[in-house]
Amino acid sequence: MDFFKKIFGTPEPERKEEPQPAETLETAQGEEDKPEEGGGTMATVKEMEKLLAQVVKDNGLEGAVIADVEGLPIASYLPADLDEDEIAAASAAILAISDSKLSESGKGNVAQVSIEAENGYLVVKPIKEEYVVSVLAPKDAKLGIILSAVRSIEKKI
Amino acid sequence: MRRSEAMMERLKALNEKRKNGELSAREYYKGLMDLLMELANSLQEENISEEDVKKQIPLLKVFITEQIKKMAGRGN
Repeated sequence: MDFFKKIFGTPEPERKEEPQPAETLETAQGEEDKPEEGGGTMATVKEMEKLLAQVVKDNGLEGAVIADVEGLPIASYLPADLDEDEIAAASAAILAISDSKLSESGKGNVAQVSIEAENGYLVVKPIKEEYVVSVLAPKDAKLGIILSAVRSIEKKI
Repeated sequence: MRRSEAMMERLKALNEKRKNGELSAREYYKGLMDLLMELANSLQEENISEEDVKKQIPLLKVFITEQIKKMAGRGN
């Protein structure tokens, strides 16, 4: 399903039981457990996917993606009908536009972007200047819970 | 006049004409696309930093992806 349609106008879809594996350079090369280059405490793509699945389930969210600053997905846990490539690219783009304009306005770098739509939320946060974390949440989710969930992902990456 | 200044003037002229109702949405779109093509050609020759390139990539990808999908939706 089109990412924007999902965010701005359709009900929550069914979710796959297991995390949706992200196609990354590491996984494509059969090096799933290889530590991320320049990574901190969070070492592997598999661990990132487990973390996202746990945070999504524990907080009643719909999905989450970790991407690099170019908008390429590294790890994700998403409903089956959402495209991780599109969400990763859109999130990085939203962040890039916000960061550029707010920096120009003297507000400094963006800490996070929260978007409330008709049927839910999208929260995007840059992490360590290397990653972009985005979280999708349903309309009835509490923003405080969503932000707390994003911070918990940040702490473990 | 530098290329960037010339393109900025064209952009401002397009914006002004649209605001004044001299251009339809379609004409405005066409003008912006023409400017985009010229800009894209110019940027190919620019020495853009790695950091800037990385920041620009997501925007390009979203724009390109959306446009290709819309083209497909129109049957092209």
